[in-house]
Amino acid sequence: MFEFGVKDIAAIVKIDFDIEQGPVLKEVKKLDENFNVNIEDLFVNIYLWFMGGSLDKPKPRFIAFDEFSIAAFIKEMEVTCVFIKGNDGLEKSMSHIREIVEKIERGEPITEEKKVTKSITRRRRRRRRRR
Amino acid sequence: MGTVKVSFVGLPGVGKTTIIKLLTGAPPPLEYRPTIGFDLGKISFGEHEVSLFDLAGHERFRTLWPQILKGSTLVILVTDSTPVNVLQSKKILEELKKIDGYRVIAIANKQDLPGAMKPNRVQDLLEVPTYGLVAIDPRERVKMYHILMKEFKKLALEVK
Repeated sequence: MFEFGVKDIAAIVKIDFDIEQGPVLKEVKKLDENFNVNIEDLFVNIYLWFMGGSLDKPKPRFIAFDEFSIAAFIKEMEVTCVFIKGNDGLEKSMSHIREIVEKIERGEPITEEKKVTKSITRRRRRRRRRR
Repeated sequence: MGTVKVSFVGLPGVGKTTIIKLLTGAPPPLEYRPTIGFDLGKISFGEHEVSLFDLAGHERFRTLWPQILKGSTLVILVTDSTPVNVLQSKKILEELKKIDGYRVIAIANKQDLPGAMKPNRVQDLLEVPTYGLVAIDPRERVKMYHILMKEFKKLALEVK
């Protein structure tokens, strides 16, 4: 769906949890000076996004925004967030997902997966013939 | 049949989540695991569906409270019945009084612990109806149901 490399990492943020205050910003490491997301303003929300509710409920590991994405690595109560620049493929993937949803809403069959399987099978047959 | 919103507030670690688990019939948590932001439980109560909102007591989450408390029929302030906690809870209560429109009661939880203040003493300090509870004891579930039933009746919600 998305492809990211080291060059795409904009910042690494560690958020810990204090038993009285709640989330506390432990460490911010900016790797891209042009990255201008205000972490101070956002870290409580970020903690809520990744850890919200009771701890035994499912939690997201990756959240994509228009301008950036966040991958989260959770260790007990501490969340390490990796901010990734850009959103290569997000718009394309989203419009593709929207098309599928619209098909489902209209009650049309979703045949895309079958097509992919067929094309793979055809390629395999061709290869076998060549051999 | 209507939905009733009941919100639980209080300082961290006083037993809000444990009370909700008690009401929903889930086993009590064996260790303290803080609620982040808020959590939600549901029970059926007569003809009503009761949404139980568990609001995290940590300072940084309290800015969320006014929004989450909106539409609550009943707000339950939970204390762990220690003198320090009850006094700190009184400050929370003063903040709650600024937001009008719901009835507030208190639970003096952890009555089994040594040094726990009696519910009537807690009530004198908080000046809201206060009920004693031991939320980690599953047998207290009936008691908690009775508390809700009594309060719903006061709020003129018909419970059959």
